Amino acid sequence: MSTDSLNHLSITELAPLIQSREVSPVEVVEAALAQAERLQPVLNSFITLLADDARRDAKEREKAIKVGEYRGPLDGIPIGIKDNLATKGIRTTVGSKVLRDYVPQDDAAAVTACKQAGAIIIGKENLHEFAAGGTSENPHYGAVHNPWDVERIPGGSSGGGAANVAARVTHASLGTDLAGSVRIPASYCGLVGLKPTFGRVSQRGIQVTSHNGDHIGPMTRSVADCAVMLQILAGNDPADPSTVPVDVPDYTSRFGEPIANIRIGVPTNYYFDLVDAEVDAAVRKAIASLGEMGAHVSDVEFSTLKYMELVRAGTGADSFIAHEQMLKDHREDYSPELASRMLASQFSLGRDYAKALKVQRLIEDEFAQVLQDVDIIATPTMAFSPRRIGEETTMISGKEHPLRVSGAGDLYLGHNTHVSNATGLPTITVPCGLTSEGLPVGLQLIGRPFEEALLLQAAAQYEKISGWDNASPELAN
Amino acid sequence: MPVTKEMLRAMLESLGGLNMTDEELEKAVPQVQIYADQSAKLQALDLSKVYSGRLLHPDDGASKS
Repeated sequence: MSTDSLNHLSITELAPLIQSREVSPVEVVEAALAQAERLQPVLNSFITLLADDARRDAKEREKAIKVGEYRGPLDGIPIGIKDNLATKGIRTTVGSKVLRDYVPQDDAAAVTACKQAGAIIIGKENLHEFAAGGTSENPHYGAVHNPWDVERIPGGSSGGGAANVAARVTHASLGTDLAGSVRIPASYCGLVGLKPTFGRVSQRGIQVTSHNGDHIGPMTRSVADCAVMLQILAGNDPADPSTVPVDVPDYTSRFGEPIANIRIGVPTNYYFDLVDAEVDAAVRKAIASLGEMGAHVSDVEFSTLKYMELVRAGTGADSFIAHEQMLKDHREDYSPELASRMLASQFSLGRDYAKALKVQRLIEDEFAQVLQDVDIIATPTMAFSPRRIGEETTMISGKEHPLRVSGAGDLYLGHNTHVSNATGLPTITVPCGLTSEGLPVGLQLIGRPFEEALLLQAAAQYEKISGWDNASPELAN
Repeated sequence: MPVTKEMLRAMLESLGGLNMTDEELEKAVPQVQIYADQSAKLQALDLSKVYSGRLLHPDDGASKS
């Protein structure tokens, strides 16, 4: 099999070939490294490429598989790790200048899980500075480029990982999601991206985070690959008090089941408020397709989401605490934009923080209520398609909007994704078409706590009829 | 309530916040104004019976191993 063909196979296509020894992890890793070396100058998707380590690990896995020690569907598969997840003995910059030489002593729990499953880590992936934004225009390591149009942002903060999976460099990437940082780049790069339920996957080892609403999640080329990744990541971690000891089901068990009895709610407010006409049309067409497959589609309303901005103020205060000491000692190593945002967050009053937590509960309660009447909520993942690198505004249905509201972060980018961080609900994005400029659009599905299997079932059924057919950007070939 | 640079400087001095330059304070004003405006929006909302998003669980801090 040619090198090029190997790069284009999904995890579930490649795994049986590795298991039967038709293909060796060494061949797969060489193919991934060749693609990485070809595309790094174009995409700038890695901060640290781990070619030697990957070759060594691939040889070990090849040897082990030869003697019957096959570990499962991730064995021998090249993946990427966002550079805010701790990797033992490998520098972990968090996309910052402050931590440019930081080398953790332990792996993040999710990294350990992937290694134990036999995954081969190709490199540490570029991201927004300190994972604190949605563009991946990193001032210290350079902007990541979107493989569908290299003049455009890939989204963020897990932009390098999404660019790599879309460009057929890696087969999956581990990202983190505090306001949409898995789903934003997954949507912008035409991938499946999952933010699991808060407490489903250990956060242990995410660097510089409040741990309040942060999640680790996979970005993959198919729903089945996403299920493979979640199967490995999900579970209780005694060392992470945010995880919940809920049984881990077989996430592929419902894949073949029809969605005829699934009730889908479509919000009449908030989620479609800022949406560009082309995105709106693609998402509504996708929802209609689910209806044609037998799902019951109805309108739902969220009156509490008008208070979502206050929740963001609370998130800002949480982030400030994570940065306080570094802002004291190394402020000159921050980009002026991020330093300004973080410093402003110290003015959140205790009163407002307490209110933000109550508002968060109000929103959670309303979602819990709505999710008694429907099983899944369907929305656009992103309100508009990825803008060009360096642009400060974007056009939505002919009207210009600022992408950064003074100091409040990438408000527009995370508008539809951040809500699920506040509620903790499992949320997946799945590709649902291309705009007239050839840029991917994502359908976001939100479910009840720990019902990832239902989300994956609906996403897998939609994927079959979406016409997406594992589409890839031209530069991947 | 309009937020001013002087107001923020006084807060930092009296509450022991991280020092900020004039330029940093200038940039912070619009963001803090957003926070203040958002907070003002909530004044009419009765939150007295709403639980906090942060709820303690009986096993918080306990060994789960």
